[in-house]
Amino acid sequence: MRQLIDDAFLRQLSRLRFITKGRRQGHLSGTHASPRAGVSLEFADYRPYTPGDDFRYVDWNVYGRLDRILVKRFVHESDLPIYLLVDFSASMGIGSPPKAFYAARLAAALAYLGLRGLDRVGAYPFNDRVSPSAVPPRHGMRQMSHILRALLDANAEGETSIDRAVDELLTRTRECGLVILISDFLTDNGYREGIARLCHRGDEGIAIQVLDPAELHPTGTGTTELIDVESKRQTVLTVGRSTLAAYETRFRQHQAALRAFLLERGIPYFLGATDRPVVRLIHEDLRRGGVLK
Amino acid sequence: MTLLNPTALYLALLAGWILLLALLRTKERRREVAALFLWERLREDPRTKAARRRIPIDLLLVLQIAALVALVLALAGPAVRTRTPTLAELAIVLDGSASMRTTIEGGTTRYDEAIGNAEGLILEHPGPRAAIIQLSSRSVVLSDREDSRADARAALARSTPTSFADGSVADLLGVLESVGGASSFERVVYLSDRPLPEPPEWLETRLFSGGRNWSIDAFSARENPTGPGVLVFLRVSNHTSESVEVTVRVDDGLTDVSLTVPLQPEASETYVLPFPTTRGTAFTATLTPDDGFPDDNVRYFALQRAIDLRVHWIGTPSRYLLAAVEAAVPVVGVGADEGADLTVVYGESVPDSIGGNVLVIHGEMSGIVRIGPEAVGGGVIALQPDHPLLVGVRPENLRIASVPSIESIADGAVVLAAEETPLLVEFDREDRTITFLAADLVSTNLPITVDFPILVANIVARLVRLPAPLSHSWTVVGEPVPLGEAEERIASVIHPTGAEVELAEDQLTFLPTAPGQYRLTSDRGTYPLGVNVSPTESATVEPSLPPSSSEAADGGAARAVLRPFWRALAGIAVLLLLLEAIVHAGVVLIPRKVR
Repeated sequence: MRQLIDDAFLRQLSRLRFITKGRRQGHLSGTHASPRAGVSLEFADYRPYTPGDDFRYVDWNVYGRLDRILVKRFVHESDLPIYLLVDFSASMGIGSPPKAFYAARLAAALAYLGLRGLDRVGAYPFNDRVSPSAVPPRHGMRQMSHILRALLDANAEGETSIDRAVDELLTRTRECGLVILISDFLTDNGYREGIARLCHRGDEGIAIQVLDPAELHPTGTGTTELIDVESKRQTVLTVGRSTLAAYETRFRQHQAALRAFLLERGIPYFLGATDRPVVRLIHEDLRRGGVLK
Repeated sequence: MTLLNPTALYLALLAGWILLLALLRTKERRREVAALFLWERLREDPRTKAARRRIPIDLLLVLQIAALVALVLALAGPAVRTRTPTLAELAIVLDGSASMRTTIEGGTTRYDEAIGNAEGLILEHPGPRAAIIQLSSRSVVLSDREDSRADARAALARSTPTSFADGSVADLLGVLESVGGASSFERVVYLSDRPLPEPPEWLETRLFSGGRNWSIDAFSARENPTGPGVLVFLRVSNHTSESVEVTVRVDDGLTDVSLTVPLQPEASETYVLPFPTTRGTAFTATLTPDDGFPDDNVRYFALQRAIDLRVHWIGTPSRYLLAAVEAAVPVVGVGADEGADLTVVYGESVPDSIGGNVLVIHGEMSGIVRIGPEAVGGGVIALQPDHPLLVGVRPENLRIASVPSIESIADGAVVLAAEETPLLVEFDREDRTITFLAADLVSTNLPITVDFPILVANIVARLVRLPAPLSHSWTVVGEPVPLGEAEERIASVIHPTGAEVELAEDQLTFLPTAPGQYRLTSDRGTYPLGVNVSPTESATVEPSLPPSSSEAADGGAARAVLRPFWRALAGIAVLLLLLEAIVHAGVVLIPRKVR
């Protein structure tokens, strides 16, 4: 397999970090605001002094004016667990380059950004279930090598089941975090329940649909034997120009339904076409979409 | 544009075969997809239902179809009609056939009308010159294209219709070629009483009809197969729209037979007239009253009879033998040096000076047979029953009282034998045939049997090949009559007027120019020959023009000419096939780049 990332690729990702919408309660200190008060530079509130409070947080200026002893409170900044849920079903093996490679490269980039922002990042390759090589979220750049290994070891095979994969993720992790779901979402209706459960737990989600240009705008007419790469089901269809136009209409409807479902649950949707560089997707779409800053 | 051979367009159906092969050759594509469910839903989409299995259009198929189209069009003979530059030249083609002599209302003839029209054409034509052609089965150029208008008019005035038959398109093209070719004339006008069959498009036809005509269409005579004399056959037609009563008179030179018959309008009657006692050979049929075209009211026919066989007799001929030979063929006795067809030797030796075929009866011939004393005969045995000499002969009917013994005999075919003695032998040599009958006729019952004249007739037929003096009983004016080979060459021809036709020594044929009874004389005798105006000249003329004529009549300063361009299309077809082969080789031989 080709190299997922290199130094030049990583240099283009410097100075970016994830943005969370709300305050996430992490275990460890980090760069994201936590619902708990803590030690940081960001002022939060005052409270009356009680014995035992640290004198360093007493606001003596307020005592001088009001003759009351108040203690300053600050926003607690904690880390953000990031779960990279990457689709490695057989359908991701289609395309040139394969969608799976594109998805792995994108996941590696996002993992790098997360780890560089002092977040814990875990990688969960899946098809109809999470791969055994999944890496739970951890800190530090050493985690990067584990994630890369997990992504490189995953093969695009088997059928897709986002629902089951999300269920497994929820079972394996107890901490809410940022779930980045990278898939082609080319399943009839197998993602709704999983994503709904994800939202129910309180996780923040990002959906990136990876597609090959030939799936967006198919070409080639004539009698064609179509084979489902996952289920191996076959059908013979006489494809004309009107058929291709009808397919594109159907595909757009499918995309629109996915997008509407995700937006309804506050999950931003991004399209990653494999003929578009990953860096451009990150710099242009994810930054513009408020996922990164 | 027009197609000279439009039936070739049916070959375009081969395109269906090419398309069928292309369709059958097409393999189904296989494509792996990630979302089959999206494609499956398309089955119900009306746009998908409208899609049909289509032939994949590739370059090779397009080239093949294009080559086929070019080839088919080339075979169809496409031609474009172009206007040639004005040559200011006029060709007037006068029909000079016999039917143009027909007198029409007012006392003039069709030919006179045509002459008047031709003069008008010359006057109205802007060009300085005109060629005038008289077309018939023997066409002539009356005025060359180099002649002036005055010369052309003078030639017209001098011309008269012939007794020849109609000319054909081939005759027309041939005679036009002699004055520069049809394409060199701006306008070619055909003045006639009937259009040419399948005339060329550039020919402008003007018709002149009129005149009453009834005719003898057919006239012949033959020996009566069931009785004495001759039977004469004739067919009489009325080409007018009115009934007419006509009298037909048939004359054999000695006697004549007449009959008067009514003829219905546009009707024909056929008659058979017996001439039981005729000795004539030249028959003439005459139809009265006269009409506008009298040439077909008289017909001539000559009856061909057998030529006399010239026999040189040696020895005293038996009356029975003479009767039997004359029964086989008319005989005339000639001397040894008078060119005998056959020498018959009876009871003597054949002189060495005698050449040609010989029938030897009870005689001898040096080097062939030598006979001895008489011996007792008996029954006759056929040693070669299938020999041509025995056709119709029953050997068991023959009895031989005595037969001479044979002292020596050359190799020959022994046909009959009497008690082991050769009786009838045929000696077939390179230059002659000798037939030998050993027994004296008076010592046999041969003269009183019916088999004897049959046997003699067979012998004469084997020994004598009579030359056919003339292959014609009758002919038409303008048809060449062969003058025969060296053995019997026609020495003189006597015209119906009594004048002798001049013949050159090496002349092979002579051309009768007028109807009548001709007499052809050779050293064997005189033969009659009936010469008639062609029966096709009697046909009723319908004054209708072929479609092309009216178009040609509108032709002004330039004449439309068809220019075929099939060669260009054939060349394109070949180039397309070469290109297809190159493309095919390129597709196969040059590997595609692997992406």
